[in-house]
Amino acid sequence: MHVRKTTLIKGLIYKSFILNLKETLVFFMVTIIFILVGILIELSIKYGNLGDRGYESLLSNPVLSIMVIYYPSMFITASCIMGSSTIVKDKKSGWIKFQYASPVNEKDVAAAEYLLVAIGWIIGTALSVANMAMFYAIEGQNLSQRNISVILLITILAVLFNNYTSIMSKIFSANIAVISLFIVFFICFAAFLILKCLFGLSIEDLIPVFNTICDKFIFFAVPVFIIINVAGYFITVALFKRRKVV
Amino acid sequence: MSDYENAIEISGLTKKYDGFTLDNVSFNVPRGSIMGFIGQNGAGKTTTISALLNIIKKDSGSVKIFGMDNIEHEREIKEYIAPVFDELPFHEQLNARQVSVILKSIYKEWNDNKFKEYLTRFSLPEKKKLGKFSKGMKMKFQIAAALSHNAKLLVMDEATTGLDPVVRNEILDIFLEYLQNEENSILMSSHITSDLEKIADSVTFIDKGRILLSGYKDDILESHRIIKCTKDQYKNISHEDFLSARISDFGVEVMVHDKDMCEKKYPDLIYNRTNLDELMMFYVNAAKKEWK
Repeated sequence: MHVRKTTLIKGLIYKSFILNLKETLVFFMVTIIFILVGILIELSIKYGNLGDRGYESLLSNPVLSIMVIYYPSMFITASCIMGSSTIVKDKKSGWIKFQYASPVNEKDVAAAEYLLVAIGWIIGTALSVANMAMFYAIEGQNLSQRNISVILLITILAVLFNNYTSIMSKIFSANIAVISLFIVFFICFAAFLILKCLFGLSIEDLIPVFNTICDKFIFFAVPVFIIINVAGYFITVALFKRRKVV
Repeated sequence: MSDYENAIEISGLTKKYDGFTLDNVSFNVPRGSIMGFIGQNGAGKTTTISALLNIIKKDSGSVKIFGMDNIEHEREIKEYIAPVFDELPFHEQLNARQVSVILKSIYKEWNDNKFKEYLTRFSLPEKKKLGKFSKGMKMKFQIAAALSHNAKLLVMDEATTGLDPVVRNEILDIFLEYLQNEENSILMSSHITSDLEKIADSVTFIDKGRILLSGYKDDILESHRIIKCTKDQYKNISHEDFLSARISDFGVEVMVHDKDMCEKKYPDLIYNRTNLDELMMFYVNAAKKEWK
């Protein structure tokens, strides 16, 4: 029974992998281009002829720090697309109907989905850390705990958005899933503006909070990941069992 | 699982939607037989099949497959059911090999060699993407997949609709071959009655969510007759003795469901054999009694 379950989950992961192969390849190609561009920028800063613009001024350029977090941010975008991609393809092809008519257990379907999320998270985080470490190495610096914590925070956000778009795409269409995500962002922004007006809150006030989260997040990343995914797993099982995904 | 009389037993199946109700549907598909499930578009065929396969949740009623409750023993039953839908339910980016890997993980008794044999027989390429298949090829592919995991029951929802007669005949031959094994059964929904006329052992008519008629095809065709008569002759036929009558400028066609009784009661009329197409039309209009 256990072997059978494992085989089934492997088969479902294989299906998702094949279906998203193109998107995954594009993601990795962009990653490689990004890393190459990053290396060239770093090397030009260190060894290039910078003219009257000094090396120090370029190092303090915020573009660099943006570049460092650009990769994990791209991972967030890719996750949002990936989250809804498989389910949208499953719905469009009629696979969901076939899945209901075949001896596939809803728990196995959800397990396969979230196992894939876990694999994606580990690979994405590892690549992001490796990418940042490379940038720092060129500058002759080592990664700090905070650096890793920031990457984990960003990739956990990616997982959260991935789960959100995946679940919304199961209940509604992919368009609604993406639009609703923008609405959520808009509501958060509006809430921030209201807080700013009411209590005079500014971004500077939030920086210490953000710094505290960044310092400590390395210890909470795995538990937060587990909580998000366990919740997603149970919601997915319930949606499939109640035949809400059609 | 070997000890059952009917492959499918549906009793009092009900499912309500806004504007449509599948109302107290009951019928059996005897083991080793092929049943034609006939009805117009929107009559409730797909809803019945969806409830049978637990694709949709039924409101009430019971469904037994291989003598077991379809919800309680869902996984066990579905190992031996092969659903065939009107549209290919596999992703168009995949090819036959990839689908085979996926289905192997789903069905315990998936047989790779058998699947390859069917692909060769149907001249289906293994590496071509399913999206590039023609409609006929897609249907053959579904059937190849359906027959490669030792299924005891084929459930087909409008599977032959939209196919050309050559492909349809080819597929019907495969079904007859499949039924050589007495354990195997088929439920085949269609509004193309000529296909069912060829291969079905029994038929069930559904209209507006209600079963109008269910039984062995030969018995039904034997008991029903069409009387072609004049309007004067028609006036002499009692309304209880016929199902419905089609009235035209040239005369009246009357469908009777008890040929023997009518032949005794109205010996002067001419009784013509009928077919499933005519039966469907006269049954659908039975509530009106007279129609044009």
